[in-house]
Amino acid sequence: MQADGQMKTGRDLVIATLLGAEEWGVATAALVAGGCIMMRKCHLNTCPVGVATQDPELRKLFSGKPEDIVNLFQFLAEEMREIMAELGFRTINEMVGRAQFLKKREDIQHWKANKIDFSGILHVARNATGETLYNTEEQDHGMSMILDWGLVKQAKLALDTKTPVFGTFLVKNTDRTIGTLLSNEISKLYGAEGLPDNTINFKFEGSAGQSFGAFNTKGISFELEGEANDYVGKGLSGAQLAIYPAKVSTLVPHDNIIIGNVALYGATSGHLFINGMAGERFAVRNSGATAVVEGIGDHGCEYMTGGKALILGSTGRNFAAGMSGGIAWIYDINGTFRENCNQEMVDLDPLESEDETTIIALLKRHILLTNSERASYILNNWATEKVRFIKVFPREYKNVLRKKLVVA
Amino acid sequence: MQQEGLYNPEFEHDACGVGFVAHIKGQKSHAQVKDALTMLENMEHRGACGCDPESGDGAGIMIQLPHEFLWEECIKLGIQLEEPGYYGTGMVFLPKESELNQFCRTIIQEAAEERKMTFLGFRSVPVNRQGIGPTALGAEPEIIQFFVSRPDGVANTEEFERKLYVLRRLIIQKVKQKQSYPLPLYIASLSCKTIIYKGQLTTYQVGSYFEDLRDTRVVSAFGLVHSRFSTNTFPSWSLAQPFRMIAHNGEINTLTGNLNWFYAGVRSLSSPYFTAEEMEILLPIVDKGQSDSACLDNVVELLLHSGRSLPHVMLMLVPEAWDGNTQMDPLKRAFYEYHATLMEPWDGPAALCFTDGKTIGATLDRNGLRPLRYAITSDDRVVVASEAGALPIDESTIIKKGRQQPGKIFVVDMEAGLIRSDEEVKGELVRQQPYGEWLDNYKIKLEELAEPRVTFTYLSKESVFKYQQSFGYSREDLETILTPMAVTGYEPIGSMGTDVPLALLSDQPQHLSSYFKQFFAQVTNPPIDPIRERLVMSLATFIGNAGNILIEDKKFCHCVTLEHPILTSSELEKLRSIDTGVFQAKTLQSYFRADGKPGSLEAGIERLCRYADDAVRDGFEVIILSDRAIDSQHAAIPSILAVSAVHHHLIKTGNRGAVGLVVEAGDAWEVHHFACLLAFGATAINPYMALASIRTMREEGQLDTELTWDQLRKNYVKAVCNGLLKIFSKMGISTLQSYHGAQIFEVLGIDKEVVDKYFCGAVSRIGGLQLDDIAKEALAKHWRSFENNRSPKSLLPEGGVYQWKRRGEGHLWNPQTVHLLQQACRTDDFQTFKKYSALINNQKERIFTLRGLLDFAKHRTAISIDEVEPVSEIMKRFATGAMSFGSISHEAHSTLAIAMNRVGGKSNTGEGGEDELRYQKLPNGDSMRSAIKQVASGRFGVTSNYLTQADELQIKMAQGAKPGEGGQLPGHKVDEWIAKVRHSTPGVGLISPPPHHDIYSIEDLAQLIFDLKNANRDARINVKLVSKAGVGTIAAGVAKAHADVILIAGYDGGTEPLPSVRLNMQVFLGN
Repeated sequence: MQADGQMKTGRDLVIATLLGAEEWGVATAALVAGGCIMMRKCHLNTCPVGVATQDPELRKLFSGKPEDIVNLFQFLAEEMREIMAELGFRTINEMVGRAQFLKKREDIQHWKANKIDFSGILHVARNATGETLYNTEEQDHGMSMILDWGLVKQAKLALDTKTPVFGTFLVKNTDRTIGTLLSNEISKLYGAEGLPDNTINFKFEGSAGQSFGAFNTKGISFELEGEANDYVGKGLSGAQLAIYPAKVSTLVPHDNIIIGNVALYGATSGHLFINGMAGERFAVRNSGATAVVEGIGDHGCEYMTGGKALILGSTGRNFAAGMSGGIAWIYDINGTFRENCNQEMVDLDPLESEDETTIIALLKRHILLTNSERASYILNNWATEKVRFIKVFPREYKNVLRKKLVVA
Repeated sequence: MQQEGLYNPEFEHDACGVGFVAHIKGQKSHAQVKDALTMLENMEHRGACGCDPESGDGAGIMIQLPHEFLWEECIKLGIQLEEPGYYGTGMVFLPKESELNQFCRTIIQEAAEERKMTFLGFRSVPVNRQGIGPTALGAEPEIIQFFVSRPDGVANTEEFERKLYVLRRLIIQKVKQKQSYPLPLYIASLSCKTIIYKGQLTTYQVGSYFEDLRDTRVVSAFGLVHSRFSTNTFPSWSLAQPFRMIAHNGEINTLTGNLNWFYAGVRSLSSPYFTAEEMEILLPIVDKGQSDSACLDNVVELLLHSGRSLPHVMLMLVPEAWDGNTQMDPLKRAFYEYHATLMEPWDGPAALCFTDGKTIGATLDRNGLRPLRYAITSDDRVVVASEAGALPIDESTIIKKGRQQPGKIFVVDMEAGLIRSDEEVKGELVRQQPYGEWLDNYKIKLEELAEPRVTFTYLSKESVFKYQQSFGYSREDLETILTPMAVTGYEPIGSMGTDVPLALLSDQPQHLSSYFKQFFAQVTNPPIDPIRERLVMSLATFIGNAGNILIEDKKFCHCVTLEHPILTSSELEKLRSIDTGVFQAKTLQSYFRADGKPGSLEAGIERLCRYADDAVRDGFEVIILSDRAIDSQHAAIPSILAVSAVHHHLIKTGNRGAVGLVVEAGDAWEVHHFACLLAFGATAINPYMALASIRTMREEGQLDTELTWDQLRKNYVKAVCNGLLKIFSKMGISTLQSYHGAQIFEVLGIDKEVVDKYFCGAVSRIGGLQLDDIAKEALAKHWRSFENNRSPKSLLPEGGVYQWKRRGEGHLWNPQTVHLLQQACRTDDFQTFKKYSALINNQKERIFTLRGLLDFAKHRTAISIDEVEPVSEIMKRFATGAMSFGSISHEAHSTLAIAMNRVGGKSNTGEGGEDELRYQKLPNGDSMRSAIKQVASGRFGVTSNYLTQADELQIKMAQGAKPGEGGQLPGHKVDEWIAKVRHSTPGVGLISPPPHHDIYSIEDLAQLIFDLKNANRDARINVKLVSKAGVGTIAAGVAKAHADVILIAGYDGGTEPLPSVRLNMQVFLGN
């Protein structure tokens, strides 16, 4: 248990400990030790001591040294020790939660403050399982049996020597967060750069659990035949994910749901190809990933700041709310898109030639990876179908891109 | 578990996984039961268990009554059952203690006889305890079934179900007469159609524990299952789901208000389907001590049995967002609007599966905050579940796969053998009655009312000033609150009531609302974005008699409809003089004798309540509580106190539902004041003094604007309305109707007795002012204006609460303390530091914090400081706060990181990502890498590599300074460097959504913790919560979601961090 909030002295920290905290956060006092003089101008970017500002000139005025802050924490700890000695505590652990070592001050004059009833706050907690009032057990995160251990084993050659590897795995909905631990292994070895594209090529069959491909990094290329649940490609970090219905399925992909809600939330890079429809809140806060999907629910591309979304079907209500960057193209086959789009921050434009190039490239890749019939149809009839596309272009983003062009 | 310390059972939350398997044509089979149990097992990760992994939070299944099985089993016991539909089966939890057990059995038999049903016998339900954890076993009841036969003259199964419903309530009533809560007996189901097997089990245990469920003779056309994740840690078999009509995944945010409104209307309940005697047995319909889902189930059941179809009931309770949806079919809008005049939405994230034994279906909340996926097969089966694939099906047989959409409904009619889509179900329901016609004829629109006959005069400048003084306006209120609202139409930043410090520690007389702090959504439900998701929100409200919810009558919509709850003074006059023959308003004076004697305020409130009750009995539809008539002898009762007292008094007398409560309040000017009034029962508010003040300022030329009075007034009302939406959204509430009376506030600094009497049901944990103290504060202001010998009358007091806050903070962090601390740190001088801390710690003269009121109690002999663990050990426990690169400079950010890495503590990235350059060690061995990496709702720069580079991953559930709100970094602040670190485009603004879009519920948080643990299994997962009443209960749930560390952050200016830590400890150690 950690506590923070305006803790300034050793006394504050001891009180927090007696009330149950095992660790403490100290924010403002640390900034003050580092030079903050509490001008309360943080939001103005004019901080005169170079703390709360991004102005290069003002930043030069920052005079804090690590030693100052080290001293602060040394003083706080020392002050705590003095009080601990007085109260008869040898360790922090034995002090945690001992609220009986606190009492209401007897000399309160204030007519309102002396009415405060501290009995609830100073109530001493019972511990049904033992005497200790601090953390003594570790959580079991249930990771011993997860699929990813198998993936890591299968990917050994790729991890060691960057040699491409292949594999097929059966999955069900209890197989959650596929590829995330594998990505952690890649990041540990290769940092943000990851592995070369298509180094780890795994195919999955069945219904994948939540967070399929979450935080999956560069070098991973996953294919899922079947369906997936919520949070597909959450925090996607460079991997490629392709999902299509089971080969034996007779469903029409663009009329049927194949992945759940909140796909690509907070994605930063990578690709997602979905041969079917997604649920609500597709690509919320996407800042760099590219996605192709054949229909989505409400609040699509909300707060998106970057990346691309090609939607080959209908969208729900409130598309593009708070979308400040990136581009989306909608294949508006029913002509209903305009009324479903929240146009406060975006323009609805016709395609320009470079859009066409990008869309065609994405369609081709989508067909290659998922065998999409709809994409094939559009591509085969591009001349007549392209007029159905609407480009969703955030105004602020458009202006920035234009300025860049001018500068260049 | 009883209330203890700061813990209160009412803080409990739960959520879960839900689903059903059904045969469209109603074909019964054991495979259906087995499949449902398989689906349940595959949602184990959506449930939870406490520290005993073999005791679940609860799981269960509802199926159709397996007649042949029961008939054969009963024959063995000598019980002869009737034909299907001619006997009812009860599934009951009894206490094991023999005397109490016998007592309950006797009551069941007596009650059945009393209701003219032949009691057929009891059957012990065989159970297998193998593998059931000690916590569950410790609370395990004896599970039995009982059987009663259908009395003569009961025409059909629907009527029999109704009789069984009454029987169940009668049994409970009889137990209640002899036993106190928690009741020893619980009836999971009592029906001639369905039966529920459930308990405090894990999903895997349901099938193994109940031997019946493994018997192949147990057949059903459907199986409805539920797996529970609860924040509580106390064993409870009865809170497991499904309930009798529904299984619910989600959270009813507005439960307190919904229940208050329900109780408010209970006395006017009458139905042709129940005799008066039966209705008396059914009351109070919803028992206390139940979960939100259980309460909802009780209401669903009542509405169903009084003649509405199950889909109709669901649309009434959980309507889709209709107000402001111009694309909606007018018939459908009329349907929703008519029902809105009867009942407010039960609001919050919800995936609901429901069944009456013949139809089964599902619906979703208006915002689509819970997942629900379905598949339909070519062999007539429907599978619905929180997750796709929870029941493996041959893909080649699937003819449709979908997801439940926000506000949509889906019904399988197993009798007719077909699926009915949202359009079909609603298309039929909305044409059931001519709702639109009813509204046209009976709805009163304020703008269409005649101008009032009395001529309206504005207050003179002098009286405005006098009123301002007595209601406690300061110059700051006029200049920094009212002026910007009127001129710009927006609330000034930082004027939220939640920024106000503890009113109880202030020397100045406080606005009574300052003692109220609103809760905010955290973990168990998401806040809403009131700007980008405005389309699901509504401020519409209705003034008048809510009617009897059990029947549909055109007259029930005879009420005044408002687009929003703020009335201008001329609108109020229209309302005051309204007279349609059956619709009239009564004005009551909301004041008390300004004599300063003990009991005066109490007497004033009592009088007001009495008059209000009389007014309702006299048939008035609107009561206006007015504090306009104050004079030297009479001071205003603080409006929130007056409203809440009258509201609760009328609920108690059963009259609240019959009347609209309008407040003509001099002391309502900032958004927080309005929010408090609405949450404690006001239907609409006329802020006449705020409006008069703006008008006077304009007349006096104090406003630097060209705007007309009309425009200023409109702006002010708009600012209040937008502010209200923002406040609702912090708690995740979408509509004013649901917020109305919801009381989602913690009271800080008012005596518990006062709260229990006048703000019934609100949380107050630290005591405080009694009624006479409240009078004292009110009179301090009142006398300022009405006593003659007072100082310069031309000036209002300079500063209000905001000023005080700045001063207060300024006192602890002042040039002296800042200087001493910096000097101490720069010169490594502990003695100077001691001077600094002495200044901070000494709060003898002036109190700044709750902790300043505490002293150490010495129970042990002092020891030598040498025996205390060394500084180096203690320093490992330090962390710096989460400040993002972007809010502070690279230099400051990296200096903190280097310092913390040197001492073995932890610095925090904040929510803006981290430059990869900082992962390299510096030549001198220092490191600028932040040990704690934050994961906030914006997810800026959160990549696999960022997560890998952490010792601790912190999920920021809320922000201390502004919980429940999002943030915005404008484009001009996003330079090249920041854009690179945040993975965005320079110059393009960034918005942080109010919620984490992958955390709408506790089981979602468990999933994110699992994701992050996968992304870096060596890092501790830390969940940062903000302190509020009940945070301990949430923290317990977070611990069950497998967080390694929980950080309780102080709610800036509100609750301090320390009390909240207490809360945690209590809940944690209680388990």
